Amino acid sequence: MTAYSRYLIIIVMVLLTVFNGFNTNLLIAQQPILIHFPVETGFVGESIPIEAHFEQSTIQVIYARLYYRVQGSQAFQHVDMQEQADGYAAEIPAREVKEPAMEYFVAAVLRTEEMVTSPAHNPYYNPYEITILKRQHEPAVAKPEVTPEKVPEAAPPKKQMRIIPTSQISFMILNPDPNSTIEADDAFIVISTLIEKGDIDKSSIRLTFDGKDVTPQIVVTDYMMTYVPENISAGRHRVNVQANDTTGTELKPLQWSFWVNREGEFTQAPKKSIPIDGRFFTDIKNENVSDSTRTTLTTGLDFNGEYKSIQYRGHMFITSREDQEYQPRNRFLLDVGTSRIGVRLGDMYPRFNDLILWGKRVRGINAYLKFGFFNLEYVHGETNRAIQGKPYALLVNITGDTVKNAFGQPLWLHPTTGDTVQSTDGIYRYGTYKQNLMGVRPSFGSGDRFQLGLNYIKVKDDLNSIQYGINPKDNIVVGPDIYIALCDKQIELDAGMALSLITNDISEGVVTKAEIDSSFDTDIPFDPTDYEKYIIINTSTTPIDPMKKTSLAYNVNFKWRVSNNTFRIRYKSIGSEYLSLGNTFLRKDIAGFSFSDRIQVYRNQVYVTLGLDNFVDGINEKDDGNPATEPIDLMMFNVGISYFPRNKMLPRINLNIKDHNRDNGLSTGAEANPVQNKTQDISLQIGYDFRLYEMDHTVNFSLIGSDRIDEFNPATANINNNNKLFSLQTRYIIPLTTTFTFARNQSSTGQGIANEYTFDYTLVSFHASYFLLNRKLKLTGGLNNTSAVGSRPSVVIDPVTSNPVFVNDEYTNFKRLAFEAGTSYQISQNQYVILDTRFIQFDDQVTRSYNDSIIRLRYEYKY
Amino acid sequence: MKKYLYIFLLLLVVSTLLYAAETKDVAIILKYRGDVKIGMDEPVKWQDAQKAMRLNSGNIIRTRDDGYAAIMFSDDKSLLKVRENSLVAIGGIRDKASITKRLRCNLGEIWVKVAKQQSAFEVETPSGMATVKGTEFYEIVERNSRSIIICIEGSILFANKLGDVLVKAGETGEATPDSAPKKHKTQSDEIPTWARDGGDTGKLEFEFEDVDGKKKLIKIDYDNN
Repeated sequence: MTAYSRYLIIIVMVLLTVFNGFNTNLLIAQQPILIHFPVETGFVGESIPIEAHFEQSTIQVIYARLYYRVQGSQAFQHVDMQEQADGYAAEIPAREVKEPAMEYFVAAVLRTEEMVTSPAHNPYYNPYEITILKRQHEPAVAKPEVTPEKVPEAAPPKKQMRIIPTSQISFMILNPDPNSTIEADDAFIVISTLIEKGDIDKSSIRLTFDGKDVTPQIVVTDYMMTYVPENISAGRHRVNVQANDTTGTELKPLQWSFWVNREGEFTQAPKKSIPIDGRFFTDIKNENVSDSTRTTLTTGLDFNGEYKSIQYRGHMFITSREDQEYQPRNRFLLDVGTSRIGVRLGDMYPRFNDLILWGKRVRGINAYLKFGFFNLEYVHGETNRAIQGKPYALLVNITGDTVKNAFGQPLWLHPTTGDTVQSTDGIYRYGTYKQNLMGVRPSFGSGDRFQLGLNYIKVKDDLNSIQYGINPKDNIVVGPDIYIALCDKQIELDAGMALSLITNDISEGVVTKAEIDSSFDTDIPFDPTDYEKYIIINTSTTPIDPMKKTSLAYNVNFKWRVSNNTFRIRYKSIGSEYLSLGNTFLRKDIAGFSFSDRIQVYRNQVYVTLGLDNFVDGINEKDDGNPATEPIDLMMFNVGISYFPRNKMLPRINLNIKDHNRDNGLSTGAEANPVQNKTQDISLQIGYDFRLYEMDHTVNFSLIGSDRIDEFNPATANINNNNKLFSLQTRYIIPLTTTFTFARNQSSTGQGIANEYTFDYTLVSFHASYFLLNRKLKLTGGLNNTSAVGSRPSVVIDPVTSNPVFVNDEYTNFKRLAFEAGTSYQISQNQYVILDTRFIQFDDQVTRSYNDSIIRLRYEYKY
Repeated sequence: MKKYLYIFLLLLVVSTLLYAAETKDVAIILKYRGDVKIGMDEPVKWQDAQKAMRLNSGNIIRTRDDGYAAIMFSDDKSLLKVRENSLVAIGGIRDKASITKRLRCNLGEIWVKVAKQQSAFEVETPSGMATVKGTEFYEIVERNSRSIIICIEGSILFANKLGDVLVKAGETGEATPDSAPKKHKTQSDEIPTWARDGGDTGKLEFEFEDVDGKKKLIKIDYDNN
């Protein structure tokens, strides 16, 4: 260890002492608290795992979702987060991870019908940001295994070089060739590590042969690793190599198979009738939380394969928590197709463009034809399933007559409590209409350099699907989009336009032209009854006059890569009445431009990002000084500097500063709706790897601060949030890894003793994992100790003066000790079993205390 | 005496190649049969070849009557096959991800299949230097130091101090220490086949007992092609 790195550690320690803190990001107001550690960086084309969990294990979650988008994109996409033993997890899919950055947030809907998010405040407009980099050295390429069927039978199998271009090289298989058939005597593994000496952490290399960890038997030098198996049997054999680079980043595993002949017999590798790979799992989770017990069974199946030019994949996820009272939690998908034609059946998230249809779950069919010069995509299915509403039961007396209150209104019985309630409509809970979506997108051009698409979707609630519903909708959206790439994609332009029409309540049916004209004092140029089969138009339709362009949306994106710069310029305008039920996450009534430049300097080790956004919120409002209609100017400036040194002796540093301003120009404070607030965000993250006492260590330190100051309403609208995090991961000579984490979050909303809410949260945790039995058995354990104090203003009567006075009242003050233990065991080459347990002691001085336990057992089979 | 001279020359060539620092693990023995020795260190120490044995720049491969070895270079999977009664020195200098290769074939017969080249590949013989431009060739070095290059694919610049010739696919180059390289069209019966498609010649021995009880050993040379 150099003197430099020692100094660095000392500096980090001093900083820690000064700040006494850590970073965890959580919902700061009252409970429930969603805890999530923001991810700093990712790599192009590699998935990014995101995890979050609730501080309180008593929280009943209907679903948790991860929303993500490439920075600069219009809309978020989402994936459902899967429930784990301790929280929820999902991945930003590898294919979506692109430069310059990904933005994301986590949202969970609770059984109490609350929604909690992380970041807690304004996540849609102020999401987390992950800096996305290209790897300096491409990781080992896990090329899909070439199955015997893919080798033309007539021709001798070509030697597969498995070599990656020199600028991106990593591993190369020297022997045996993937999918080759060889004699037993020639069956030994040789892999060349072509990358520059020292870029792979040799101690991290792990080689499994037929599922058995043979790492102790491999011989690794700077440029080569070899393994000679003993008494190898005839048949198929699988090799899997895993390694980390010297930054600790896990490289993609290298996997391949080969075949060994029986002695004296030369046979071709046996063929699978259908080439298929996949995974099956089943999972049982028992939660004893807050004096109630819940057992959840989950099972899933994934598979994929390729036969000649046909690719296929499937997905099934079944949980015992599937409930007809909620939207589906089970998922099914079968996807079969070639590059020209294909069909998907089941649950899918089709995308036309981000104005019209983008990531909405559809259960149905999605088919495509792709001929290059002409393509056609079609989707049809259900976006919401019908969920019946619940009426109250009428209260009747012994003679069967309805019991009424003093005003002659009938009284009702609450369906669960049995209490007597008053209701104007007798509905305890409205249901959800079954909603169907149909979309079609013909397009011209392959999309590689040019494509012109025409989009049409229709989304309509099925009036007959439920008895007690409210505001069934009918929506059509139509519009073109275009993509042009020039100069080997150095310049890219894409643009889209869409016009929407939505009827917010079709229960009243279509109305005539005369009714519309008289209701809105207008003269529409058509009779709605003539178009009833396309859309039901009535007085709840918006816009009633499309010519006013309030339901028009369009955007233009321009990207230019030149030298070390990537410029992006975007203009968008989304009308105040624009609504596509194919993408309900689009912000409406906003127009403006954004500009960004990402500069790579110092041999691609330093990334500088500059961004400027200027939007008007309320584009159909009049900018005339009238407080009732004044649009709000949104201005955001951000600068980020990231340093990812090739020299591993130097730390990784990421600094981001953002400045948001919202202002509607009514600065006197005397106006009815003045808006003027400013939010400043700053984050500093430092990561450093070092070796000390023959052990590898990674230390991470981060500070994230956010401060919002409201010019006119500081008492309730000011928000301040500070997160600090320190973590130290140590990898020992023995297969032991430990992680120590210290985190602190301090936040406040409002200002002054009458308005201020505060929350102060501290976490100290220690986790360890240890491998046994040739890494077949993994043991994990950990302790989390958290404490939090939350206070809010409260009014009490001064015993001396008898006057009401504000005091700080603790709404929560808890200590929580969680013990975690788990194990995973590789039963055989393809089978795994995992056991996780978590025991929690929760002691709240304000509310109540309890002990919880969560146990999860999982079996997994890979084939 | 002549043998020691060869070894001395080999070491001389090898010592120049060793000038570069990164000379480890330049190749590996994929297959061997019979008597194959690997000369290592300086002065040379002979070790029996082993499966998956790593070769460094400067190592020498020596095959006897029934010896055969297949060697793969670790940067691009270029293949070298060495037939019986041959003496070949491996030279390689690693430059980042590629290896500049230089073989010294003093005696015997080799087959070389060069992968798509990212770096130089040369074969030195007592009568000239072959700079490989193409992919596949046989090289035979006779005891009188006459060198024959039979180009199967691509082309080879075959040169010595007296001249040079570009040997293309379907041509055979020939040189002695005292004559400039020359070439002619390869006759079909000149083309060796022992190394093709990973095959190689071998010998099978069968012991028979005749009606008189006498044992006879029948040797059969075979060629996989």
